[in-house]
Amino acid sequence: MNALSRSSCWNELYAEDGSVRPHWRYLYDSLHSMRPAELTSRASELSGLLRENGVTYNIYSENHEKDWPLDTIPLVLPSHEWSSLERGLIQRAELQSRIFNDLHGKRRLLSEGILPPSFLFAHPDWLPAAFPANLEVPPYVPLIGFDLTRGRNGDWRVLSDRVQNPSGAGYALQNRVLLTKIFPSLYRDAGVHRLVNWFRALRAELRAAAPVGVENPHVVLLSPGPGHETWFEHTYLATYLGLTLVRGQELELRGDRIWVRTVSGDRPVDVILRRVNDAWCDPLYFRPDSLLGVPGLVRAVHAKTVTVVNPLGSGVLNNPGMLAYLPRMCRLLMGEDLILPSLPTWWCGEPAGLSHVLENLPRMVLKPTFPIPGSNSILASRLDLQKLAEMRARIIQEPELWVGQEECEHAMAPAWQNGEWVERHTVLRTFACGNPRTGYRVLPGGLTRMGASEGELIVSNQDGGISKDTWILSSEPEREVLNREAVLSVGNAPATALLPATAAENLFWAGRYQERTLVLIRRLREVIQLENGEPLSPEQIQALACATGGLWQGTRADNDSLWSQIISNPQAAGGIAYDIHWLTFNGKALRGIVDNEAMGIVQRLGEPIDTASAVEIGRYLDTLAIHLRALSSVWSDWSTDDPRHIFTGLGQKCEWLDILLSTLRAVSTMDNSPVLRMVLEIDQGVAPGLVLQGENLIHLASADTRRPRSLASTAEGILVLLQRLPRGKNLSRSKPEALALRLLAQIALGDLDSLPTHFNEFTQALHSTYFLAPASPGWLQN
Amino acid sequence: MRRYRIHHSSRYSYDIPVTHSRNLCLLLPRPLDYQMVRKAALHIDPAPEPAREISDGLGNRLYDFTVNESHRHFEVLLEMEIEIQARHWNEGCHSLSEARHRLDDLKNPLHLEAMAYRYPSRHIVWNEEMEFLTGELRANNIPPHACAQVLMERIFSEWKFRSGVTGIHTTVEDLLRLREGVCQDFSHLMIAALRHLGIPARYVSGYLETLPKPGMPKLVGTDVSHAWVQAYDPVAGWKDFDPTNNLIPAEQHITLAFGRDFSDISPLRGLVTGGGKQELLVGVDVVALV
Repeated sequence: MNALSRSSCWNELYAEDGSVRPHWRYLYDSLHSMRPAELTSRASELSGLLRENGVTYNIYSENHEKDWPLDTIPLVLPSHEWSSLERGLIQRAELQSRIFNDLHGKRRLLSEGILPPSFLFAHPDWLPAAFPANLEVPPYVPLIGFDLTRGRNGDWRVLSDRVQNPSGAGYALQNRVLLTKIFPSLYRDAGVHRLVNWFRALRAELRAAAPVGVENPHVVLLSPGPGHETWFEHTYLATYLGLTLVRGQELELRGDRIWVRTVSGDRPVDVILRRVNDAWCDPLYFRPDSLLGVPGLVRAVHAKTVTVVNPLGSGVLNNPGMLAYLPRMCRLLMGEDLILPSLPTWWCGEPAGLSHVLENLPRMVLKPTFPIPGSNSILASRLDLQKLAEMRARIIQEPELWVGQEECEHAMAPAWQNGEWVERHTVLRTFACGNPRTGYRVLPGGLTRMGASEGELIVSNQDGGISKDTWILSSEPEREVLNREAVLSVGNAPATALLPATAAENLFWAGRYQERTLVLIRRLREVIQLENGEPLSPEQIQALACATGGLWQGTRADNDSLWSQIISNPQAAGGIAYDIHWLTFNGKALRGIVDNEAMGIVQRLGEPIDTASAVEIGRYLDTLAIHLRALSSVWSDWSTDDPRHIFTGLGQKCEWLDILLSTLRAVSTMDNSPVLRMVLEIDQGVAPGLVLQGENLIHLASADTRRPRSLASTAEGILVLLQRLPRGKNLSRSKPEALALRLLAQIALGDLDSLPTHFNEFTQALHSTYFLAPASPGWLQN
Repeated sequence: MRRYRIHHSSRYSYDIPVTHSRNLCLLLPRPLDYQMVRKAALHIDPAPEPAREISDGLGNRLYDFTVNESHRHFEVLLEMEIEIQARHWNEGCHSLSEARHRLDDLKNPLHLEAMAYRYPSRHIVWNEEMEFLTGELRANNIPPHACAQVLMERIFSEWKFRSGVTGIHTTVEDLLRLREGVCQDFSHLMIAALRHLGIPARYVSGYLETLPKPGMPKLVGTDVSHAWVQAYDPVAGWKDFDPTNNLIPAEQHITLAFGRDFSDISPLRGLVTGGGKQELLVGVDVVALV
């Protein structure tokens, strides 16, 4: 950090003469007064916080979740510079709204010859049916993202306007929240613009977007689900903004309205903040292969009972070639000049654009005109001669499909990586929200991203980019009603007030897998002497098979087979690795629904293991058991009428009932096998040495209500939980409740034979009442 | 002028009940100056919940409805009476280059509207192999409607009508190789060739009155839904071409809807919960009224 960077690009920290820029002074001095060891420990504290809070994103190519990378050093920008940037961004936001409006209305941009007609008509996201004609309020785009870079002189340039469903604002907020935790006083004294007011404005904007006449709109966030790249952000934003987090399968069109299925009944939806792309939003109207949308959403949009943010059809604005025409569009639609320029961009579908791009090919970044998911920009400077020639041929063959943008050596900013000061190229993404009538508001900050290594110009997360917080220094102290950014407290309904059906199902299955794993561990620990490699008696083998649900196939209780068959094989249904996989799968889907403590435990449960010695196996199982019990105690700490408490509890109890039923069946066919009796004794917590006769034991395990883990007590517990669930309008007993009562009566009467069948009926009723229909609809043949 | 009565029924039978069905239907004819709709009614059984008519942004009438009653039989029946006027085609541009030049003027709202049908769409994507159909036409600078005439004749004579060999996933590329297909395929192929030449072209769905062989009585239910093509000339406007029958549609073609390709205007789409195996029986009758 002491050496002046030789690079020709803009340096955020150092001025031309090598001095530290004034707005960095305070942070620079404070950080340099710390010993490197101190900075390193803050950095590791930060990664600890990131993991604890489960801040992740998904890498598509690797198909797994990664910890969100956040640098310890923020990017600092002075107030005066930001306010001039802000003016330009507000104009661009308004312009994007007007472009959208024009393309879905008069189309002057096309008739006046300003925009190539193919930009609309050849765009795969042009969905003519998506948008009703003749709206009272002209359509607009409430939320827009911008990627910004700097030229050599520090002048700001827009790399891209992100219009369809821009992501990153939630990560920016999370970055801020966590960074202030490791530098509390530094942050307080630096006088940094807070982010909270912008998020409050966004929330107000979403509510204001509701259809005319809706007083207290119900706003949901529509996510593609836990497999999506930015699932963490969806859960985080939904919680922070007080939105119901839903997936397409939970929404349903009824009449002209969209409803969401929740455990407290179905609720109408007024505004949908969507993270699903246009063409995937409605399988009936658009892509029939989409499983992410809502069949009939378009009808509700046409009936004006719901507002989609950003509106369906805004996908056509995602086209890097638009930048080439922005100045002229601005003049036509706004009657003024574009304040904030874009990075020079050419569309190859025009002869002049094509020849410029071809002549300057090695200095171009090439982007597909119509964004193809998963295809990145191509830096021509990185291509060898042969690849470059191939690229040239591709462009010449289909010029209208390519856009060339001048390669920009993004500004350098200081970073703290692997225990030392380094410099990295950075790109800033920020956001504006609002509407053309009352104006747009820019987030005073944003998500800064930097290349993973020295000289790297690609900053995208999918390519290993690292994020930074962005501090805009305020010129005067800000007066804030709230000085905590962690919670947006304005009338937030708790996330659980409207628990969507999928979340209820995830809670239920998390409960089931938690119980299943814990029971298996307990039985393994007690029944098998881990260190004992002696052959088992046929009786013991049978018992072990029963205790492990048929998973055990060996004849010796040796470590290797125990390890490979029951513990570590993720393919073995009913084994520990398998159960843990599904427990964490359901657990991760619950981010935003359950608190960080539970998420942290789930995170730890999912960490890979490799061990094989008997002692370690024992220790591993014990650790696992401790985590599982901790998870259960988090669940039972929720208030008893909290649907999360109820559904995890239902899951645990249903699982236990299921296991106990099959064990009891096995005991009755195996004629009092001593080992099985031991299994039952363990399950029922009978003191060792207390010898019970078979009949007594079975009675104790089934009908004895004094035993908390008997069939009777478990069924009783299920009934109690069901009774706490919100009731329908008529206050009558629900079907699951009626069936649970029947189970209870059968157990009391000792009628165990038909119990398994009736238990199945009960769980099916539970599913159809509270969860989603198991079968997705099929298509009519043509 | 000719008058027709049309019945088009789609009857589904399911082996297990359907509890819920969301549907989108494109059977109500769009308004056209050469077609007078005397009557057009959809009968849906079981009765749907209140339906909503939606404009699809291309000028067609989408009919959106839901059936919420458990059912094992489902029928959508279109009943309409329609009058068709004879049309006169104006003379168009003198060359392809003239047409392309004129099309650049998007101040003309008709040209602007036509541009929606000028580019690749979901089922109509082509590659350089299309030169096989278009090369000579471009080289000789043939005007749009004459191009369409030549393409229609070529497709009619070089492609064989055969059902069962193509389906919804057949691409234009496949068709160039296959040399077989049905009206939907021929229309897609011809549209691709026209667009490849820079001529806006659209897919038309509707019906065709079929005449019995001389001396035979007309049978009930033998007619079918049909598809053909419209090509745009910036001077003459849209003109119809039927590559399946190698003729210029006149008073025997009854139009329902225009789209970029089949996917825009398939007559009936539906998502059903339950149902199991489906059986579909389609019956179309086009009866000329005197």
